[in-house]
Amino acid sequence: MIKVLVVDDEQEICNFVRDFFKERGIEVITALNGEEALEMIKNEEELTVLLDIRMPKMGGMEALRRIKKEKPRFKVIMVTCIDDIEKMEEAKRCGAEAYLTKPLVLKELLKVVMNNVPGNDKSGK
Amino acid sequence: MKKDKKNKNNWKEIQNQLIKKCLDVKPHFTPSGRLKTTDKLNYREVIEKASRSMIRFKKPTRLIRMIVRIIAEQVRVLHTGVLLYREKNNSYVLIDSKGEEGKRLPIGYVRLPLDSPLITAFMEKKSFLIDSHGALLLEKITKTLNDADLLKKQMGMEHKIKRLKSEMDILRSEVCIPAYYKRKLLGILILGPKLSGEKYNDDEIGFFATLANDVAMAITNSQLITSLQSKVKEIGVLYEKERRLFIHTSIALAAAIDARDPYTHGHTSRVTHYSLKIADELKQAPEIMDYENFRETLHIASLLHDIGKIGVRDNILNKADALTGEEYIEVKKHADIGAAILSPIKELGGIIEIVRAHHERFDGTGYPGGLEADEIPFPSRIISVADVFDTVTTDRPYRKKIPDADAVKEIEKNSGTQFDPLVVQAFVDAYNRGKEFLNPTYSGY
Repeated sequence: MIKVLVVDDEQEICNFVRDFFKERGIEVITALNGEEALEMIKNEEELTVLLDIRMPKMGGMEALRRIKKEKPRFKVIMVTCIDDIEKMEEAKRCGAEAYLTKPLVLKELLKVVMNNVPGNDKSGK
Repeated sequence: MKKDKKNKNNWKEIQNQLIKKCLDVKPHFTPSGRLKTTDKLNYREVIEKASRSMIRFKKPTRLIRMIVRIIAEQVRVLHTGVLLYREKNNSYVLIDSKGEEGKRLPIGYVRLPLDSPLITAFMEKKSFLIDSHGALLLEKITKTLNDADLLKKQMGMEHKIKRLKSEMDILRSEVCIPAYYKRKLLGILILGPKLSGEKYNDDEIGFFATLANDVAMAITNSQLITSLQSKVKEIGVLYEKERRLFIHTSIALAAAIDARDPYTHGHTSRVTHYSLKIADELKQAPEIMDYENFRETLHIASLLHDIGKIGVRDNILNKADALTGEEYIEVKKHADIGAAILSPIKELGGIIEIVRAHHERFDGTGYPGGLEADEIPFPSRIISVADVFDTVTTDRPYRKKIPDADAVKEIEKNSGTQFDPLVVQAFVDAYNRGKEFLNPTYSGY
């Protein structure tokens, strides 16, 4: 069972991505910022995290570091609206499995998530 | 800026009026406050009128926003959205959407790359799945995939059709309508399923297809306007560059004259400064039609006014004693020589005559032409005052300078004879402003 945590400060995006994955048989939980996300992962065993970089109350980079520290098995996909190579490198160093730029191609989003399921090691970097 | 705002208001007003008009005809509301789609032509009328008036507006995104809103409300769809080609992303990006939250595509979140099945199908326009209006319907695609006979006929196409269906599924789209301008795919209107569960009919799709192409035209028009504006700006920058080159060349020439005449060091730049300061007092003068233009002409003319001195012999120009009659005749030639030197530069236009006339007197007793009053170019009359003021307020080998205040009095005394009274008045006004006038800081502004 694939489970995705969508972290984005825009409620609309959370709802959309939730419904989008639900329709494809993927369970989704959502959080509006890094703090909320860290709270939510506590009781999760295996998760694929879709993490927006720019958010109030703990941005994506900080959240990425903490998630990787607390749940090293989780797969994290960073999402941002700027094509920032430095940020991309930094995310990679911090252990992110993939990096998507908004506006994104939904098909790619689906593919990247499917390729990054914890325990299923054919990560799509 | 102001004009833009006005357009915005106008636009809002037109939009409100159109919608109000539409509502006035058949005010049927559902309990939720939404308008019932009782008369299909009504919303079309609103959209058509708006898009026609919209051609004139600069921002087609406003038109798109309104269309998307009206479709969502009047056609009552689960969601609808518009993808537009964006060069920055080299993709078709969702720029607007409306509908149920969670179902509609979030604005700015979604794009379709050029090689996506939907874009390819619309670009190629060859697929048998495209209907007579150019649209793609999920229904037709699904039907084809379920029809073994049909699929057989489309050998090898099954995979392609499946990908197309999967993309339309991903976009939750029931109908996709392309917008072309001159065969170029500019965007796509995405229509989700209707809330009523009804299918889209041919008539509706035809209407949306026409609408999409109207919008494409509005977009192209606005892009043309934008590119024209940037061209105009570019030309402006080039013009400014040329203008500065011209002024700096004039400054260099002026420096050459000053260098030859050590006694009058800085004379040209001071005369230029005074002339421009006098002109600043004459903004309202009837002689000046276009002030900026006039100032520019005066600027260059005053820089070049003494250029003819290049043609006067050194021993006369640098003479420490008063000049003899003959020598004076030589010096007077510099006005004509200056004009002759500049005459090959056709771009100087009237400036040449201004240079020639800077020693003319208002009463007609000056040189070289003996012109009087209005016959003397107005800039020459200004330079004439500035020139005399600087000459008498700086030391010359054959005489001492006089105090500024005395020079002003002298010039006032000659108002109407040597000088144009209008210019003298402006000169006095400028002088009375004090410091700024008397401390020439001219360095080629």
